[in-house]
Amino acid sequence: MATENIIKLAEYVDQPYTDMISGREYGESKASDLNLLDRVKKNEHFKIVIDGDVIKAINDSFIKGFFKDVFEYLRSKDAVSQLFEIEGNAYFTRLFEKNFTILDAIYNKPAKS
Amino acid sequence: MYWSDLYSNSNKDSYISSRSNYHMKKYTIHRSDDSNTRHSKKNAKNKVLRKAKLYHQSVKIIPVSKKGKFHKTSRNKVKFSLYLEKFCSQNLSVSRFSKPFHGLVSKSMVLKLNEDFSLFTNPTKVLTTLVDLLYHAKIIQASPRVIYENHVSFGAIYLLDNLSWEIAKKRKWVLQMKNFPEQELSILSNIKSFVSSTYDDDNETMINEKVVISRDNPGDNQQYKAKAKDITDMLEKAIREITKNELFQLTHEAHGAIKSTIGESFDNIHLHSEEADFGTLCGFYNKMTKEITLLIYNFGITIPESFFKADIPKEIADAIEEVIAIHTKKNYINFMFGGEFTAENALTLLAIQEGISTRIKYDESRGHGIIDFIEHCLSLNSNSKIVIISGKTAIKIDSTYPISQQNVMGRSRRIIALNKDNDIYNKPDKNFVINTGVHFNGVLIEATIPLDNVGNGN
Repeated sequence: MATENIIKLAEYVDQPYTDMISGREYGESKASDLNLLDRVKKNEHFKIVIDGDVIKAINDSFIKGFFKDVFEYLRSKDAVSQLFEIEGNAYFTRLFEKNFTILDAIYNKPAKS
Repeated sequence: MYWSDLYSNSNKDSYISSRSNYHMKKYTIHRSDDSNTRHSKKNAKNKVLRKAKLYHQSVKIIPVSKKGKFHKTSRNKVKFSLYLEKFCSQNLSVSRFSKPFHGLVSKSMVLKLNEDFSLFTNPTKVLTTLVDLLYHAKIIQASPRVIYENHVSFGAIYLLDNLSWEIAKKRKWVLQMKNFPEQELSILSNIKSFVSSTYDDDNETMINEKVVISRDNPGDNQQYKAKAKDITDMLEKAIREITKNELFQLTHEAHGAIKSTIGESFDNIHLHSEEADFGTLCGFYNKMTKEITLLIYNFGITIPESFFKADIPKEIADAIEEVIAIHTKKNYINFMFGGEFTAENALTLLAIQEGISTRIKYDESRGHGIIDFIEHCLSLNSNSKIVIISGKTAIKIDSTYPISQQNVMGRSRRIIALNKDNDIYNKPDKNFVINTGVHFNGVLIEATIPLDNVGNGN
């Protein structure tokens, strides 16, 4: 069974001053800090934990920035969902699902012959 | 509020400046004063009163040249900050007060606050008033009058307040208020748009901040995130007081809507408006109407200007040109007078569609910010109203024309075309995409979200 790496998004919140995670570049920088793409290429699995008491909102731009390179590589929502498990309340699960669907529409195109 | 410093409780329909009040006390005649002292105090007091007297019917022009001993010299003209001067100069033909010194100005400015004076209802009127205010301040000595008719729209009045503070930095500036009810005065007197401030009373709560944009580190820019938290904390507290429910918490959906509006707006300032050093953020909760208004704006590049400068992939650029051609096409009615829409209007509307961004060449996942926060606001409450103003374009969004998924420009994307078919290749409804004729040199977003059901567990 693949080892799961836990990413706690609460660590990206500057408590007690803020309770939101936002910014496309911030998402890209966090993905870069985690070497996310290299680890995805090695087929590592991840659990993204969202503590709803600490995090009140996550901007769509952060999610897109965070997963941009991953989707560019894996090309589909199904492939990403196999490597990334989202653990959080129903609102955040739907939010990630929505953004994965949008990224799937962008990157899940047949390869040009 | 700018007006709060000048408002005298003793006389609602006119006022004396606070500086004059101070001097009045200073020159009070006492029993112990001798005749010379009495005479001096009386003269000084009369001098102050003459200076403070409002000549609101006078249209005396501020002279810009004066006779020196040997030759004419120039007075300093009233000059505002760089961005406001640009706002003035780009709208010279719009203001009736910009016609200098030819007796064409018949009266000083009278501003009526009613339902029509609102960024959502009539953005053209609000923007024209702002230009008029600035030119009035430049040219006419007399002070404008502000008359309450039946309504004060927060976003519009906030902008007026902000400009008044800017004007007051450069000249003596006095606004005479008439017919204001106590409740509205309470709201106005607490807007201190010139400084970062927080206010909370029985009628409203407000947070106002000038947010500095940091470009060195993506982890910076915590300021707007902290203010976003302050705004939602303010709302929770207000709703707890109203509903007497100490355990009340805003839903994640409400947090998402409010913070998405703020976060995406500042993300766009950071990414697209490279010369902007700051943005203005104001969150206002009206406890009577149970509505939150978010106003975010910055001076700098406009949305269409950023597109004119950008390097966009050919297939998107071709599609954009096709949309512009359709939107700007003249028909037999307006052939002589120009089309209903300009290329700038079309570009601004295109910019809010999913996946249309000046950065799309480098990152296909760009161009979602604006439509994300529109979707959040409308899903929280379908009666939300949003207006986006940039350049000469104002785009109004409410539940009349919903967002829907369309297959355009190579893929499925969320579109809000503001016409009955939601077809971006058809012209939009001219009541929702408005060519204001007034150039706003920057981007302004006002979102009004009713929260009338949140206290009931919804």
